Amino acid sequence: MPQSIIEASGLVKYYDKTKEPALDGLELKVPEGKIFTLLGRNGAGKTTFLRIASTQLLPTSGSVSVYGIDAIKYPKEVRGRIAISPQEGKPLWTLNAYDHVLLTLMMRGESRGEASKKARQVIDAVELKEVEKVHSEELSGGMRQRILVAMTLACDVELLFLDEPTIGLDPLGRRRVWSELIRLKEEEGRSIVLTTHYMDEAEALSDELAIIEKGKVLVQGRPSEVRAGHLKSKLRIDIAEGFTKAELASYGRVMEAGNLMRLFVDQKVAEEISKEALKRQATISIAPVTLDDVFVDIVGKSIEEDTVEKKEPGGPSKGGMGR
Amino acid sequence: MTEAFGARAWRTLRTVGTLCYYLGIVPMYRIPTLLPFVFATPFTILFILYVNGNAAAFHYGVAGAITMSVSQQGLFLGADLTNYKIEHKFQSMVVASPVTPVVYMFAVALSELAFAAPAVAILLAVVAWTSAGIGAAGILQVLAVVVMTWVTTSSIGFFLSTYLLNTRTAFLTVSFISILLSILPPVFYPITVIPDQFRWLAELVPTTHSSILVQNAVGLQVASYEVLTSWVALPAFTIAFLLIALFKAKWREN
Repeated sequence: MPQSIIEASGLVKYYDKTKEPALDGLELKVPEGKIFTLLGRNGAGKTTFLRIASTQLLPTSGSVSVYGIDAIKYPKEVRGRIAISPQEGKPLWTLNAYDHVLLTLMMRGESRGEASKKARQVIDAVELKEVEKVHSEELSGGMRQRILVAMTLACDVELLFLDEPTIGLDPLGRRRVWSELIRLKEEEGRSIVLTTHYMDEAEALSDELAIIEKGKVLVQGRPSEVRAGHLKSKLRIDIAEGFTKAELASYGRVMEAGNLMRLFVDQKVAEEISKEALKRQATISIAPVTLDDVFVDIVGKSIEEDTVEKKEPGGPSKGGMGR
Repeated sequence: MTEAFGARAWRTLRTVGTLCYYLGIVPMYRIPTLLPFVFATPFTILFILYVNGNAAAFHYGVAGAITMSVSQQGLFLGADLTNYKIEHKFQSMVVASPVTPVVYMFAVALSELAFAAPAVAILLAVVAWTSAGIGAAGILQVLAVVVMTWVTTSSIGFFLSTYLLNTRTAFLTVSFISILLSILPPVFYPITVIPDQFRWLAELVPTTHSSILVQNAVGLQVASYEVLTSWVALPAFTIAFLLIALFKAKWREN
């Protein structure tokens, strides 16, 4: 069992007491030397958790330790061991990529020579070399995002926090960043905590992941475990026409995805539906389930349960009548 | 122990130098057209006083422009830091690093001072050219005032930046405070213009004392008790605002 580098317990964060909490008693353990991914919808609490664990934000209650150090009481002890790439950051307009990395490293106390060497390496790794001397204001959004990621990856620290690091990057750029993250983990033993909305990214990078919804962890584990454990069906069928929702409901829960109706089924049911589709000359597609499907299923169920609870506020589990 | 302290001190100096260089010096030489924006307000006021033709008012204006150039840049620290925090998220990276808030404030404030330095140099040249001259003691006095005014207004700026939540509000707030510190109080005019019963109000503003001391340094007529009061008040304001910035600023959000 790998050692945990981050342990959060009962973490609650209210930005506004009159509204829903951003974190609602979050419990989480992040293993050492791994790439750990946080998945969740917008506003699920991923960034809030990252900001608390990286000592930028105080929680309303609960505890979080980083390398066994209480990050709430002793933030200074933690800060030398971490670096963060914030969400939706922007490089400084008059500086180029090389300046940014040099600024980050020298600000953290590295000598110019050492900082310059590392800057060259990381700029090369995230493919910024051709534009390293161009002012950031003249670069595309994707290039600017690469600068922010490069600033963090260059830091000689044990734990990297990356909040949506590949947002706005083209597919090749994303893969370059993935390769560098995997290299940092495997060759340098770094631990990496990242958030993303790209399920393929989570599948490609994560040793372990957690799905967060409304400030709570719904599920945590290796991607294969999460896929196998939370969606028993192995196949996904997308149906554009030829069937009614009521007909399909007899095979299982039908989800609407744009113009498609989506079902998760086993092989036997898939064969049955295919035969029926052939008879009706309907277009369907069958594919193995992905993490994306699991995410939609888990979060979707959580939202449905929440809606049911809200519709029945006077139920016995809510503390009885007359409140 | 001594070695560790020495290494730490050297690292801190490197941090300050790096932040000051990349946030202040580099933008200044890469985009020198930014400089006139720093000079614009104090030099415009000075221009109005000059075309008005009143030599005495112009000399007070020069003293006021020196004070305003520095105080304005100190306050702009607040707007710039808010910008680094909200728009660039640069402060997030700094908070999650070994850099302390004091070092960050000092380094970025120094970068702002770098922007104000050419304006102060030009104004000192104007003093030398338009008056009988300013001696070494006078220059030292002006530099001491510049440093205290810079620390005071930078502390105000830093404190504000940790509470301000958007860039637009930051620039408006800072511009408003700049008026309160540099236009309304006796910065561009002698304190004697204000009726006796209201002078205490002007003396509650730190830049009043900065200007009185600069007026005194460049040879303008200032009552000796006013100079003495300002020599006590300005350092006191400097220490008070610095302590507020150090202990009441919100480095980690809640």
